[in-house]
Amino acid sequence: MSGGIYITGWGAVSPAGWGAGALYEAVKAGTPLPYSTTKRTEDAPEYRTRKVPAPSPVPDWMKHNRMRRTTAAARHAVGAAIEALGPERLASAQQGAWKGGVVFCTTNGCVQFSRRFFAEALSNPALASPILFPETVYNAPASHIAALAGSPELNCTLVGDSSQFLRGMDLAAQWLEDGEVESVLVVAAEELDWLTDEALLFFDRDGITAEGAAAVVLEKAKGIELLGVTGAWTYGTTMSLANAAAGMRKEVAELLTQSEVDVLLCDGLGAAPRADTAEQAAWRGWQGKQLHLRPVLGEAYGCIAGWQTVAACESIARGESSQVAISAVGLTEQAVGAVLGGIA
Amino acid sequence: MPYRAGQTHEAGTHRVVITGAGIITSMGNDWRENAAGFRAGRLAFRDITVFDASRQRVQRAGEVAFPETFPKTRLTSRQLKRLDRASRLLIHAGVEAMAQSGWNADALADQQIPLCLGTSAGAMATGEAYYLAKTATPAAKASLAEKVIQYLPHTQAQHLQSALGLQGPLTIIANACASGANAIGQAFRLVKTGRARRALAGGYDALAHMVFAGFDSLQALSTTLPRPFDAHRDGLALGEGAALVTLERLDDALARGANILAEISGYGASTDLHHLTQPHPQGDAALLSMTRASAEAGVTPDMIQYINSHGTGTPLNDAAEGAAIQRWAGVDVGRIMVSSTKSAIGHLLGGAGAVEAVICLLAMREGFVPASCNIETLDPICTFDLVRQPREAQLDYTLTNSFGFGGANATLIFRKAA
Repeated sequence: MSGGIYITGWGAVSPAGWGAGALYEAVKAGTPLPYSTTKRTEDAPEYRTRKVPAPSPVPDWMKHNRMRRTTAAARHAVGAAIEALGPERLASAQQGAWKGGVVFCTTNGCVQFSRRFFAEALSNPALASPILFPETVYNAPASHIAALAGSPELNCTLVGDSSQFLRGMDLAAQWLEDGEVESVLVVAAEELDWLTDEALLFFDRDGITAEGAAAVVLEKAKGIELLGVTGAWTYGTTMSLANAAAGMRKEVAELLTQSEVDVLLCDGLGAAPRADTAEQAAWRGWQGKQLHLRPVLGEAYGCIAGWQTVAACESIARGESSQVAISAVGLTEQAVGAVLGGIA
Repeated sequence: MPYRAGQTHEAGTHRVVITGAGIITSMGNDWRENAAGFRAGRLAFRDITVFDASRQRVQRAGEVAFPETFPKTRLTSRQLKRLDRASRLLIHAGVEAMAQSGWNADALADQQIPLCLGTSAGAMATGEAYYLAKTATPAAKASLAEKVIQYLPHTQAQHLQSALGLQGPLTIIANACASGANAIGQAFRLVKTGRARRALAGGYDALAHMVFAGFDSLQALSTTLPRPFDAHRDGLALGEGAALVTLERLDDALARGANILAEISGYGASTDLHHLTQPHPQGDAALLSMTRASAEAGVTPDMIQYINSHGTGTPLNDAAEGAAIQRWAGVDVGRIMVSSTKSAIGHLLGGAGAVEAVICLLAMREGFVPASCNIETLDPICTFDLVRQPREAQLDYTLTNSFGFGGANATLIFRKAA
C-alpha cells in the first residue's frame, strides 16, 4: 500500500432514504423521485421539495442528549456520519479511541432554526427561545458529530456553494498528509425550509429543492483511493464561470490514470441553467459513462457534491467502475473536481 | 496546491511571517486608531443604530463608526452600492493590510492567492432583510435574488477579492467565535507547508439583530459593562469589526525587503466536547489547543509574555479559560500578562480571533499591553498577571486564544520579528 489517501467509509441521507445504497439505486435508476408541492401562503410562490423520509426504526443515536433539539441538517449529518464510520469504528469512537478530525460543509446550514428564532425575536425578544439559538450556528452539526464520535481533534466547518464538499476532502487530505490526525470524517448537510426553497425559484423556476447529507471517512488505509482534488477555480470579476469549469475539467483529465472511456463521470448537471451551461460545455465530448444526480434527487446546495462522491464510492465498491471523476460547478463561487480510483 | 496522490508536502519547511495587517473595530478604523485606543485603555461602546434594539435587554454594543470616505478600491460604483455592512468592514481591513504589506495587486495578477476568512454570521443583516421582505410580501421578487446572493458568506469574500484585485481559492471557515483564528491558522499552514507562496487571511462579523437577540435570549449579554475575569462578571458585550493579515514566507519577505510585523510560530486547534455552548469546566480542550500551538512554536509557557485571552466575561467561559491557562503555564503562570480586549470593544464573534491576533501584533510593534477593563474584584481564577491598566512592555512572544460555540478552539502564537 502506498502512502496515499483512501476513502474507507461512506454514508448518505437523501430523499431516496437513509443509506448510501438507497441513494445509489435511485440515481442509477435515473427516475426522478417523487416531490411534494407547497404554497406557504395564498400569495406566495409555489415551490417543490423532496424530503428525507423518516427513519424506520428511529436509530438509537437520535435519543442522545445532544440530538434531542437539533435541526434536520444536524440529524442528517449525524446519520450519514454514523453510516460512514461503520459499526466497528463507531464503537471504537464511543469508547474514545477514534481520534479523527471532522470537516463539515454547508451552504445554508441550520436555516430552519434560524428562521424560527428570528421570527420569535421579532415577535417578542423576551420570549425568544434560548434553546433554538445555539442550534442556528453553522458549526452546530459539526459539534454534534464530534461529540457523538468522542473526538477532541480538529473540527472545521466550511461554508460555500455546492462544490464545497470536494474542498472539504482536500482539507482532510491536508490534515492527513501533515499528520494532524489519523482519520477525517468529511460531511455535508442541508435541510429544507421555505426561505431557501423559495430562493431557488429566483435562479431556477423549475427547481426542486432537496435535503439530506453525505459523509466519507478519509484515512491512510486500505480503501477507495483519492487520486486527487483539483484546484478551486473561483469565478467572479477575474474569471468567467465558463473558464472556471473548463479549468477544472482540464485538471480532472490530468488526474485520470485510465482512458476516459473507462471512467464514470458523476456530474453536477441539473443545477440552475447558468451553471449547467458552463458544466455542459466543459464536459462536451466526454467519452465515458455519466451519472446525473440532481435530476433524480433535486437541488441540495452544499450536499450535492457529497452525494456525487458517495455515488462514486458505491459504483467502485460494487465493481461497476474502476475510476470515477466528480464534477462540481458551484452556483455562485467555484468549480472543483476530484477523481477516485479503484479499491486498494 | 490541492491534493494529488503521489505528491507530498514537507511539513514545517517554511517560516511564515505577517507583512501587513488591517483592522477596523469600534475603537477605530485602522491600526493607528486601534493602537491609540487600546494604549489609552479606552472603552468603545455606543447605542446601537444598525437595528432596532429598543426591545432587547441591552441596547449598547461595540458598533463601528465608519469614516466618511470609503477606501479607494477596484470596485465599480455599481459594486460599491451593493456592499453590505460586513463587506464594508472586510474591505476596510483588507485595503489597510494590502497597503501595509507592500503587495502590488498588478504584480500579483497572475498568482492564485488563497483567501481564508472566518465569520460566524456573514451578511446576516442581508438575510434578515430577505426574511422580512418575504414575510411582508410573500410574492415579492424585486431585488430579492440579489439579496440571496449577497447573503452568502463567500460573496463577501468575492467582494474583497474584487476590491483588492486579487484572485485565488476562497475558504470560509464558520467555527463560531474561533473562526477568525482558525482562518489565520489555516492560511499559516498553507504557506508553511509550501502549498501556497502567500495568503490573505482574517475574520469579520457585523452586528445583526438575530445574533444580538440570540445572545440576549441566552442572557449572555452584560447589562452593565463586560468585565472579563472580574469575580462579579455578568456577561459579554457584542461588537463588530474585521481584521486581515498578509502571510508570506520569511525568505520571500526578506528578499523583497518587506516590513515584517511578526512571525506566526504556532497554531493549535481542538474541539471541546462538553456542551454545545459551555466549555469544559477545567478547560481541557483549551489546554489542548494551547499545548499544540506552543509545541508547534517550539516555545515553553515561560517564554510567552502576553496572552490575549478569549475572555468573554461570561462566568463559565472565563473560569474554564483561567483554569486552562493555569494548567498550561504551571509554575510560570504568575509571570504571564493576560487581558481580554473584549472588555473594550466587545465580542466580535467570527471576527474576534482575527481582530485579537492583530491586537497582539500592534501590542508587539507598539510596545504595550492592552488592558482588561472594568475590573473591580479580581476573580480567584486569575493566578496569572491580569493587566487591569494598559502598560508599557516589550513583547517577544504573544499568544491569543479563541473559543467558540460548538467547542471550536484555536490558539495562535506570534513571535516578534528579529
